[in-house]
Amino acid sequence: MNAETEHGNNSNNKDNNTVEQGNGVSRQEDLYPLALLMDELKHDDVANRVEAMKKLDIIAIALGPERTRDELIPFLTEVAQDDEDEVFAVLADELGKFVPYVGGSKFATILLPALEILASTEETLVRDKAVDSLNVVAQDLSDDQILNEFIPLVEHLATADWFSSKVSSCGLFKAVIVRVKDNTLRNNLLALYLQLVQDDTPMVRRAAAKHLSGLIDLFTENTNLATVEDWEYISTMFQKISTDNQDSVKFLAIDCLISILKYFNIKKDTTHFKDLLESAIKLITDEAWRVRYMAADKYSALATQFVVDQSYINELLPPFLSLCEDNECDVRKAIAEQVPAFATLLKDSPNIISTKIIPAVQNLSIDENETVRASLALKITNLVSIMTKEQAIEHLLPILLNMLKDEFPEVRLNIIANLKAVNEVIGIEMLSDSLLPAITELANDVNWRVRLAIIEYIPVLAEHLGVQFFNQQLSDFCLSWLWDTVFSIRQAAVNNLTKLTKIFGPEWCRDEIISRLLKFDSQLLENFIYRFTLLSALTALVPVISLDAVTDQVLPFVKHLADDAVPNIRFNAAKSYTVIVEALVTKDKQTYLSLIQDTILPSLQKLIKDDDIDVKYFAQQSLNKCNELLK
Amino acid sequence: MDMDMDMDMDVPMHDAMSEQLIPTINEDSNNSDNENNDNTNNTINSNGNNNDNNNNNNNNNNNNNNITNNGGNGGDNENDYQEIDFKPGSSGIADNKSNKPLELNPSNINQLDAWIEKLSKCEILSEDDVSRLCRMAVDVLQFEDNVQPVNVPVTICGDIHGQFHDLMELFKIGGPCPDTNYLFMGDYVDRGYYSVETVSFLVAMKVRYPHRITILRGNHESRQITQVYGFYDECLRKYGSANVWKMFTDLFDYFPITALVDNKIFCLHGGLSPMIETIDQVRELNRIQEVPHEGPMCDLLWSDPDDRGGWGISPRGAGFTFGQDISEQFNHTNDLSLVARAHQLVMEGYAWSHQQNVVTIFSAPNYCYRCGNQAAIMEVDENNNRQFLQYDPSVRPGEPTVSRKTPDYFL
Amino acid sequence: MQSIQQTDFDAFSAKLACISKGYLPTNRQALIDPIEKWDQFYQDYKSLYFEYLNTIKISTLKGKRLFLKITRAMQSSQPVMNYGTYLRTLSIDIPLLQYLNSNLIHKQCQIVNLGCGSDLRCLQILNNKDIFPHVIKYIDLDFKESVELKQSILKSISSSQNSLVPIDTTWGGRFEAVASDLNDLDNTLLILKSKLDVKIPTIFITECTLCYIKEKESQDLIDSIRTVFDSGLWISYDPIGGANSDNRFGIIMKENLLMSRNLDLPTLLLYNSKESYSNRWKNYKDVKIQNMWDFLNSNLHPMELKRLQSLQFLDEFEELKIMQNHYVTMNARW
Repeated sequence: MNAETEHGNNSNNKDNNTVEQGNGVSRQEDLYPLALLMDELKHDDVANRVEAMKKLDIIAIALGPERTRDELIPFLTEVAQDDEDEVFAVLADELGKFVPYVGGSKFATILLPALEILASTEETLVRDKAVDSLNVVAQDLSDDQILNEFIPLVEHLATADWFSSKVSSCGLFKAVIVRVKDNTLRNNLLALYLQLVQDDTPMVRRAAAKHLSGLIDLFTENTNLATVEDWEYISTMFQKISTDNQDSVKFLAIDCLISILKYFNIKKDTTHFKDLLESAIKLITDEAWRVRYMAADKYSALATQFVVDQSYINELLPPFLSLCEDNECDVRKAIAEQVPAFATLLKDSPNIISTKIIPAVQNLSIDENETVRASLALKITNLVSIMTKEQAIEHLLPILLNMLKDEFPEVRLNIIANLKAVNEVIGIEMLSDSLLPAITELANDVNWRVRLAIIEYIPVLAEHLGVQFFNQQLSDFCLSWLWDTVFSIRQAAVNNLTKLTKIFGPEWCRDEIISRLLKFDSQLLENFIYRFTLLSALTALVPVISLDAVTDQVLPFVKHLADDAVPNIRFNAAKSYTVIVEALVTKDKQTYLSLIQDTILPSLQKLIKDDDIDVKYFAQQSLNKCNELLK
Repeated sequence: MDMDMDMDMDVPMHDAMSEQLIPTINEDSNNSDNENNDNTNNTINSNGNNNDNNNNNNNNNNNNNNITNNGGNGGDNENDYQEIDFKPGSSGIADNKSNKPLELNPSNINQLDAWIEKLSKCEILSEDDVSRLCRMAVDVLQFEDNVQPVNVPVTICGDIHGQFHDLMELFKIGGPCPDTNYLFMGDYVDRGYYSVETVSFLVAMKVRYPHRITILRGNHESRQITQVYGFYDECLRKYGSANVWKMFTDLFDYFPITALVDNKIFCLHGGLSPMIETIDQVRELNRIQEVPHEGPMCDLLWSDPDDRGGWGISPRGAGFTFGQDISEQFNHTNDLSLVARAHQLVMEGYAWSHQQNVVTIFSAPNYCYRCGNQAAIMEVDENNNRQFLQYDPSVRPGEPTVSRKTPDYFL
Repeated sequence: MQSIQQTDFDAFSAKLACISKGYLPTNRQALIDPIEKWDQFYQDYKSLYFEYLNTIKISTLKGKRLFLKITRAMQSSQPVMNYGTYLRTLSIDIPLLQYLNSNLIHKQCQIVNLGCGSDLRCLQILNNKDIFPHVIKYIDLDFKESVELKQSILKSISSSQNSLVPIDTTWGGRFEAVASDLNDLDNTLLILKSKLDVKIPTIFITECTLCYIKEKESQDLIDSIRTVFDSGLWISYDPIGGANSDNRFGIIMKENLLMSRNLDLPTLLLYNSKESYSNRWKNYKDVKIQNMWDFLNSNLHPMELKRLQSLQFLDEFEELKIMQNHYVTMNARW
């Protein structure tokens, strides 16, 4: 507390006139936030301490930079050593925003000790936040500060006894590596990183491997920085990672490899490509499935780096095909999504497509595992873009038709969702025979979210299929969804009708939808849920249909429901009136003014005298809006 | 810091236990083992003297901290834990009760609509707003009957237990309120991670649309139970003090305990009571109190139907089990078609018993995030046709990583 | 591996919660068939556990934090969990004491707890030499870190003033805490053979241990113990995923633990029923398996059930039933 008092005095020294009392008051105010924070930070309940931490910035602003540096930061450095993870996590986060509060980058290094401690804690989340904050702070540091303060911190963490510190250090090299222009110094840093890549603890090796690709990317952005020696280090690191005895380290070699290839592609230096291709194939065919999975997941990204020479791509074909037949379904699932992108690299060899790729796709499309099939379905329609219409009809279409009959709904949904590409090349008519049964099944799926998904694709399908096909095949579905037992389906069905009307036009809606709706099974309408749905559907259509349809078809129905026995229906009828009036008034106020005054307003007047409080309320709301619209 | 840690040990449960507990339970288990006084032996201090509160707190805290068993560390704990007044009514939400039901005006409607919007995003209200909400709710709920009449159509729901996202799923299935009328049969809090949001939301809806939604009291809407099963801790965690817990538990005393749908379906949380033969007898109870540990009000919130006939002892330690003969008689006497109740986990979300004299409805899917059950609600239309809708959990939102919350397992 | 070690603290805090709420210890009258030496086995039970907990706080670098985690978990533990921990403990102790009491009274006997964690049965046995004189060796086996923690805590208790743990924390060579990864069968067997006499009857305890080991490794372990040791008893407690339509509990459990704790239960859905679980001991005899719900209903005296009900309100019996239906206790002799 002494320090605070002193500073209070110092800062007030300039205005010597201040009477003692005034001085005292201002000092007390100054002290207040810090004292309060300290109190809160000692609170028994961790939630309070967390909350207090979240207000750090406010306190720092109140204190000003000097006192933040002299009092708050030392205090926080203490706190960083003795509290709980929840509090640490917030502290680590907050400190990343603190450079302005301590007086700018000149003083930013004062934040480093606390962050270093936090970067050494056991809890991953705290460490990650501390590392993020350190990286943010580093951006504000001058080259001198980096050299004299930040790099020693990195070195310190990287050589600590605790694996947690080492793990954190791996995430910090990116803040410094390309800022070090001195070749020897940078070499030393890479030598240190190489140590981390070979650490005893798998967790450290994993962290080092994970961050390596980012470091390489930095060299790619700063093309002329890296020396031959630098590359020797990187190359050794890659070798170590790609031969690590832990799968969970080894599989990160894929990302490193992609980054390395990017670098040399930018440099237009292909001297190492032969070796790198060899490394790639080794990893792709690794015996650990996690490594193969990673290779499969990144296959097209990896292959794209080899486009300089088509023969490289061709060499990547056999391993690609073997991944398609991998024993692990996760590997097949990953590669299935990569098929079209990789096939695009082979588009100049239609023969390969039809003799190699298509058979592989065929196998994947009948894979025993449904998630593999669903993954294939996600992108497979894109294959048409590298095919002629004839090829597509001959090779791809049968597969798609078959997948539309898949027993697993997600496979069918994914195909339907991505039919656009197919439609553009071969036209949807070719598919329609299979499409209908597929839609029928999805429309009746027991899982309501599947039903919802298919409803949401209907407008897209409608656009491709055209009105005639739609009326014949799909309009019944669209109406039947209105009577689903699940509210969300009924609501989606209502919205769907509006979207369809926007596509097919008001006349279509009047003839095909509204007139059919109004003729609906009266027995069904004995249940208020379906009266409500019908009311919602007609109301939702009001803005997109002709005014004649509104006045002749919708309005009488709404008016009828305004006398319904169920209050929920009555107040929704009241709400509908607003929508109707809005449509009439905005489009043709003159013509419909008398209708509104003679029909709608009296009905609303009656509803505001209803027994039910909610009917009264919503009728009054509606009436107010109508009157406003009529002004 | 030692002290801090010991403070963390603090479970102020016993303080309330000691006051609230009806002294009759298990005197025989008040065992002689003095070391045991830090367990939840419900009998401790059951002579609980309300004025003695602070002392009780201190004593119990010390007992608690004294986990060294032989008392070695117990003495050096300076007890600065904030002392909580657990007296019913101490929140003050019912201090200025109105003598007529709350009338909504544009300003409080706006207020409520804003709260409902916030809550529906699973964000909590401020402590002051909870206080305002509860004061309004008292003036709605105090005028409801012990047997609250409810009109058809209505959708009847069972336990929610703080599974807020699943409650939102329920509205996706059954339709939003107020367009759909709802009757909830209790157990909004405890067990799930969002009790505060769940009960705040339902109470706000109740105040905003008193005729569109009915919320009955469950056995978890109680001071005692919420201290064991999570609502108390959640309030402390989310608000930093027990104030909000006190407000809500004070409010729970005003919740109606049963409802009668169109004079045909008798709805309540638990089940029947050997001390209740007619619905009129329920009407005569004084419900504005903590759920007692025995007696008719306790039974209505705690009992379960059973395959065995007659009345049986409940394995839960409160309420009774009742057989088909009892339900048939009760429905006959009161000219009912059905008793609808919640309270029991049923794997399909609903289950008939007693040859369709009783139905159990449970609306918390994958209960406690681990049981794997479906949930259900029962729609009753204006012609008294019934339809059950089953549903699965909503997609569970990502939980924050630091305060990892895995459901408990034996590991 | 770390995530498996963490489960020890779940088990330990669950046990402490169970004790602090009065479920454990319980006396021999709790059982329908009371067991001899039960009460002696459980004497000082509470003191042992709390002494151990308090020593965690002061004995190691990370102890304070660990202590906090455990005590927090303890507080929030709910009746349904306390019931389960109580049942789990009894399901091991009943066959254990029955075996110790049986024809072996004057013969020698050894006990091995595989994946012991912070379990303190070793102290319950070793501190009662006059009651269990024939237990000539007790081995606690677990990962290196767990064993080191246990050793340091026992050391620390022994140097304090109380008499719960003797200065000689080997109990005159009768006790040893040894480190081995159970996935490394060769090493594990090598150690066991070097510490134990394979001719003497040996009790193996696996309490939530096998569930973390893969199919082949766990089967190899079961098969080789049978081959290496001449005779003995295996007591095992684990979750089962549930078969057919009853498998949702297991699927959800597996997913929950994998997602939020990175903890894999590789055989939960494989050994999903009593039958598939116990079939692994096909070369053993007298294989007995029971799910814990049946265990509850067949072993506890009605008065004990009443006592349990009085400790806390159990709000949901169905939930207890679902959970206990998905845990089993197995014992087998050879």
